[in-house]
Amino acid sequence: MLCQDCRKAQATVFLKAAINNKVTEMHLCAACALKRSERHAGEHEPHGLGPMGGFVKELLPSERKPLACGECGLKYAEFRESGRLGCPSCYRYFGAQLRELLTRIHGSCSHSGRGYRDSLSDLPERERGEKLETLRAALKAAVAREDFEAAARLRDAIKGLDDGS
Amino acid sequence: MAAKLLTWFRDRINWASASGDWPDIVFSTRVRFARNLHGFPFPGRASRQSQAELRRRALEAVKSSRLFPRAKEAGLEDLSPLEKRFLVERRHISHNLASASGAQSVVIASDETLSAMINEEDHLRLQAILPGFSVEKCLELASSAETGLGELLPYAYGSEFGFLTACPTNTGTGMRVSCMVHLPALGRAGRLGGVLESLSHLGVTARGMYGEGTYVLGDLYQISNSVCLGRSEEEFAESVRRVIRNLINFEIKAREDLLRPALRLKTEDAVHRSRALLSAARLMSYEEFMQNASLARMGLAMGLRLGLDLDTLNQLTIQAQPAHLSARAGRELPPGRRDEARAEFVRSRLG
Repeated sequence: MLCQDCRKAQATVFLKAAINNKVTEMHLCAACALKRSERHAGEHEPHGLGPMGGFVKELLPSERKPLACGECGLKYAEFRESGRLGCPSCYRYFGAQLRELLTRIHGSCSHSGRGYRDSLSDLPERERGEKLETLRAALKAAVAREDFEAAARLRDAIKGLDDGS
Repeated sequence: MAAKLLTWFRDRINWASASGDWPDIVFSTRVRFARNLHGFPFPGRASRQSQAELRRRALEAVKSSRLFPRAKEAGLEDLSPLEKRFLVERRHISHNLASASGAQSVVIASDETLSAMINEEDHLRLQAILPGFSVEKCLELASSAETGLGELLPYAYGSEFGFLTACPTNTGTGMRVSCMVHLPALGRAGRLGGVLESLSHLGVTARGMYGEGTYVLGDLYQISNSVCLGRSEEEFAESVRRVIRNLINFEIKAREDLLRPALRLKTEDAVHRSRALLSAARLMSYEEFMQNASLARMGLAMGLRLGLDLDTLNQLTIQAQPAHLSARAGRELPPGRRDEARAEFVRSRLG
């Protein structure tokens, strides 16, 4: 396969193979992959940020109707442009889109690392209902792909939210 | 504050000493966590006032946590350009933090192995840095700071996505593990391209010494995990560790090749020429220093007698940088004068 950037050299680098049914691969030759990682480098970051900040726009689904974060007011269109979220609550308001984006970036959209108290769970009743729904959907998806670690965590999270109500 | 900041630093850089595992191939290991606080907009979208309030709370927590004993703390607005560049070279702050114009701060523990940036892209960037190949220890150190501060500050966390960060590339564990590896022989053998290319399949990325978008100096590469969501911190750390172990083996093999009878004389010639140049030059750019130090470093690892030691070379790698030279001189040196000061300084250290 030819590199999708220069269309000359053989593609040898496959960037971001996605899992969970959505496969978006970038087939690049080594030179173009390097160029891309440099171009999208963002600021030089000694603490090591991921190399793909600038890829966000290409990887985010477009919005069907205008979306914005109910907490900080960041518009979804702004997020697509900058690749940066405005506040922790953006994860709630752009949940569906982020699930898709995170899967493309990380090959997964559910956390399997260390736990912490859920700061999103301290929510008003209506939002708690929405959150529960989201978590249940995520649990179903986790079970479907046999990711039992994630499923166990999601189950605990649901339990935590339920107990709190 | 200004003059004081630079005098707080000792000449010797702990995390650049020739210790830890595989010091002749792995220069240093770093682990950083990106964390944000619940209830505050991310720094990029926060007002100056909100940033200042966040900084106040973060600094308070840092202080009462006692995780940063005898630490130095500085507000970026109080620092001169030279001091900022010095901190960048010393790897305590990013270019991003140095060029920000809000309420940014940095906290550095007295042994310089632990530091925190406040109001960078995320509210908190916690970093542990140790010499050599020390992934476990480094993860432990960074985790202790992460956990300790998490008891005092409400991290933004959701059970589905994990730790919530300004950039989705950091969502999840918010963790980046990186090792700075010295790969001169692989480069000379022409095998580096292939090796680095294969890394992208293994979930790790290679970059130059100062991180993203920077070019490679002195055959030093920063290898780090490219994703950080979907697996545990330990699994991500292990994937980096596994890649580094392989790189070490490849590099050793390539170094052995350079010592085969057919190449040995050529290799030794190159190493000794570089060594001699380090002691002979009267003007030296940092690039030139790094290029020659790289060969000398490899020569030392090969057991050649060069009349210098690895620790001195490592220290020079940091100390011979532009802002470090200016700090030593006590004033901003113009570029031409810097090359002279560098050559002089390197000679004084290497004899």
